[in-house]
Amino acid sequence: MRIFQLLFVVTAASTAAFCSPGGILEKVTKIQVDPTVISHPENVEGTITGDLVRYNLRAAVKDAHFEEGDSPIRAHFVLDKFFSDGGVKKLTSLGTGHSTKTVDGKLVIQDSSGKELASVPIHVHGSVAFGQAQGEDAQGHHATSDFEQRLLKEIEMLK
Amino acid sequence: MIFRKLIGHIHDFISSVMQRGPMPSRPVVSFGMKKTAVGVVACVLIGAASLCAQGEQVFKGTVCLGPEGRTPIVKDGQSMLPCTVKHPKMGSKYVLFNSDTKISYKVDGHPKPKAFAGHDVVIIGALDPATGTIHIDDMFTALPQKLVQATSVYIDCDACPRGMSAAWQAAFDELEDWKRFDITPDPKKADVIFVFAANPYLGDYVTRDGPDKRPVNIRITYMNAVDPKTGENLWGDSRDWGSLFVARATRDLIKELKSRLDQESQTDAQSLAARHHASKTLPKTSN
Repeated sequence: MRIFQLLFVVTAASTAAFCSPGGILEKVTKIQVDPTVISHPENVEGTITGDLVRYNLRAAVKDAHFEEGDSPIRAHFVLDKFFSDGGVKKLTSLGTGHSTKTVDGKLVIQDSSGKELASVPIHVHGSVAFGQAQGEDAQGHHATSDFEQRLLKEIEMLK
Repeated sequence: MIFRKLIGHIHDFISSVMQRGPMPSRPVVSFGMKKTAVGVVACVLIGAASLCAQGEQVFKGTVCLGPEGRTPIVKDGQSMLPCTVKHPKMGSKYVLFNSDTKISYKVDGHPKPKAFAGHDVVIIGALDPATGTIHIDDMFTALPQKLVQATSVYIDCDACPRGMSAAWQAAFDELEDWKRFDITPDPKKADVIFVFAANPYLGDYVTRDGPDKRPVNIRITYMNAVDPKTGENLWGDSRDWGSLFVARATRDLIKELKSRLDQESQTDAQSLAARHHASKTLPKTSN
């Protein structure tokens, strides 16, 4: 009897896995990337940080093979915190090209009515602009940052 | 006792040096600065004043040999005059040809018009309507239209190891401040690509297979505006500021391009000449 129960569970699980409905971006081909929303300006350093974060999101959308432009599906990043390494770390990395940032926030996907379809919390401690490792091994076409990689991973999971 | 005297002497000596030391140098430095500033202002004012007096205008077009210096050639069954020839006839003159208006002007007053032959230029000068001659006050090469009309840009830090990687962030910051271009993450959608590198650009952006494999010695920061379709270098310059000042060099290069593009969009000869004189006269920023 137990064997039948076990078989039933295994069959049900595999059926669920193969027939599970796709993610919210399954049939989406085009995404509109909206400007970054800065929830706590006092926790965000730099004047163009919002633009840099949006650039990373645009790059991730492109790398996930979505077209970017006018679309009912919209994506933006809500930035809670953004800061660089402290003075000592900055000083020790002078001239090396290493620049580590801490980014806290969430990736938000909305439909045309503004209804939130997904909200993914993201915390990254790494590069946000294109850094040394990427520049060394590739022509800029393939350059990427830790933050962009994380965004890409989350977008892929929503497919 | 002797020890106290010795300390007293040392104290006196240090005090005198501290009081006297900077004294002679300060006035010299400030005098030098003042002199430079007065020189710059004078140049700008003199330039502007001379333009007011002469009623100068801005002319754009291509510098070509005059018809007397060229031999017509037949191309696709049509007879035409080439803009330049390898060996122009003795005494041949140069003209400015505007392809939009199809008007040619004789040019006069520039010591080396030959150096601009075949190039698109901007001329600041006074037109003598009776002879159709422009008396040149200043002439400089115009930026390619592809660059002037570009609205989107892709930033590429090509082979950017170590300190060179600071160029990308600095370029992004400066371009965002400028607000002229949409910085796109897709090079295929960009009107122009800004390539930053520690090695000179070889014009192979499109044709090169993979990354630039030349060894990188970070001393000079190069910036090139590249046509994404052809890889042609539309504009480029460099700063020999060392590896610690890559970010500053990058920002300065973008400011230089901004200044050039601003000049291109000027149609008012007086302000254009004033800007051009100022940019030539101002001392270069040191490290």
